Amino acid sequence: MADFSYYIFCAMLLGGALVVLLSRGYVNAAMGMLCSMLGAAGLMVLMQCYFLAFVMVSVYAGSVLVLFVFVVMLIGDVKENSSIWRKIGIVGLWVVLGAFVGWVSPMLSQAAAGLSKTTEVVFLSQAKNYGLVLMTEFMLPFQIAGALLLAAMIGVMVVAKNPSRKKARRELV
Amino acid sequence: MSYLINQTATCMPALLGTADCSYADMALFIVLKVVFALAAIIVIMCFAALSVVAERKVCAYIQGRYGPNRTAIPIIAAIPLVGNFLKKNGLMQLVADGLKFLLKEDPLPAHVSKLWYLAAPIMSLSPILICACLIPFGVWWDSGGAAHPLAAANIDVSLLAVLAIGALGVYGAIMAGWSSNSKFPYMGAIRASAQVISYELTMALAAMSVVLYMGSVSDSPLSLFEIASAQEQSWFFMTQPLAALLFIVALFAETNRLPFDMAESETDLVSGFHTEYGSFKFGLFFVGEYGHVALGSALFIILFLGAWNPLPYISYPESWGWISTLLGFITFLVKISAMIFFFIWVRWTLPRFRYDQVMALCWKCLMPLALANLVFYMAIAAI
Amino acid sequence: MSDIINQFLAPALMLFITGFVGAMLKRNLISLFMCVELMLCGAMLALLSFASAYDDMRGGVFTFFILTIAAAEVAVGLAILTRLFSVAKSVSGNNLGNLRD
Repeated sequence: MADFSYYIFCAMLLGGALVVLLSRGYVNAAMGMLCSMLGAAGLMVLMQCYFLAFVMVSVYAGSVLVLFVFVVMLIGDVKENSSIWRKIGIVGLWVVLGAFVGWVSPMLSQAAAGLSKTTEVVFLSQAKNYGLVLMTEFMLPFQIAGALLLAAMIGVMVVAKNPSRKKARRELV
Repeated sequence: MSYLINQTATCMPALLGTADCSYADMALFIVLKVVFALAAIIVIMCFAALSVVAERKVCAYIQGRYGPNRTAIPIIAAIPLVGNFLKKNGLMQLVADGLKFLLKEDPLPAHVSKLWYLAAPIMSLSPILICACLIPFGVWWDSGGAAHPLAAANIDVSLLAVLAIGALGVYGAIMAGWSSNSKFPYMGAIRASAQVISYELTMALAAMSVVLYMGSVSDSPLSLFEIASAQEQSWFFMTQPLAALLFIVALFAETNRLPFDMAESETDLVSGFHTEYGSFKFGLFFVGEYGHVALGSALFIILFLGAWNPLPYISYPESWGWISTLLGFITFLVKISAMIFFFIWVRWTLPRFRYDQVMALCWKCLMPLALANLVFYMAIAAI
Repeated sequence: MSDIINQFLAPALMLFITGFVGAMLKRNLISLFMCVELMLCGAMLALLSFASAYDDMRGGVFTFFILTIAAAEVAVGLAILTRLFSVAKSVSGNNLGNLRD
């Protein structure tokens, strides 16, 4: 049963990513990415990181992708007509690199598995542990991330404010 | 029920692949879970269907009319008392409406992008059905006296999950507007996406002040069941009135109900994102909207209105066993009905905002208030 | 142990590779942006696959930080894109060679 859902989520993840890679319009690509993100959240649930899975759905699927679609709708969807050979080339490259991943990934995990497991308690599945770790061990990165978000917010406002509108109004007067 | 709890303990690790259990146990477990999920969905869908009738009846009373009271199904209407009751209250209109959605011609306009046009109604309805499985509808006690929620899925981050998955419903509106390839749905979709992103923030911040309080009394503050059980004494709308007000305003915006129904404002956008839809696909949008209302009511009741407790400082005693479970369940359903009535009441009383007013209200008024509210309760928690 | 890690590491690497191929080959900036998001998501999954195998909080917390940074990055990037569109009337990366407007 776990295998069954695992393969479904993997198919969603990689299928959605392929749609992003190959699709012609932006909206199709955004929907492919939605599928991919939901697959990633599903894999996180299988890893028993429930809190991160739902934060992922909330942040990526709920806000970031809606923002993508919103901007696409503002500037208009475009159909880029790439040739069939280019598509075949992309898929071929993808398959070759996938085979490379299939070769290198077991070796990587073999190397990583040499370390010994530190604890037996399940920490990752409890939402409260994230708060505890964020407020103690990771206090400085947490504050820096907050400052970065504030800077990003102010930066977006400055960038998005249209200077030509002010100029136009001045010319009108 | 207690069998199910035991089964969860043995079968959940097996489902996640970390332990083994027999296939018969697993199959029974999955069947039971599916039955519970279906039961939760049926409750929410019944509310969605009945609130369609309630909308017409309540609107009629507010406007001094009778509302639907003629539709009759031949044999049932002839039953002496029941038939007349159903006819007078417009309950048979429900069947007629449903049949109309099903039997009308299902048009597929030539200018739409087919895949997303067909997927959009499903995308707007399915997140609500998923969320219905996470809502605890009541509480029951096992033989050991431990309390368990009456929910199909009990996870410790269920509040976050409901907010996250419920927000996915907006993709239905967005994709409907985009795929319709026509002006008014397009504008409705743009409005829907901007509105939902904005009001989601207010909603989450308002809920966060409750979670902040829960963090000091409980081990899993994001669980809806824990939040509901913490309200046996005072309800959260008494201790956090501003958060409750902000949450319900944001809820009106999230569910696209009237003071904020920018995505389908009939006066300027024909009927918004579902202008190009007809028959059963329109019916799915319609049911999805009322399902969203029912779900939002349930969420608000669990967060602020004491869930299944009848009155503040009064709760059904644990010693009554299954009787108080049943009473609590009924109380919860009655509260949802009252909230849906409130939604309809507001719809037929308040006029619609302009679009720029909706956005200004969110960013210039509700957001600062929600932040101030959160900081205030943070200061109280720190002291 | 290596099986458990590999089970989740392989799709994560594959997702990263997909994003990487896209980021190399895509011409217009919105698609490029989406591919960068896919790469970030792949990195997140890879971190989590190790974190969940060793049940180490630090991997989970770093995933949390990546989520935060990615959201901020998307907001800034899309604001720049809309600005670019209003100036250059297109979001193709090929037109960005001009030094003056």
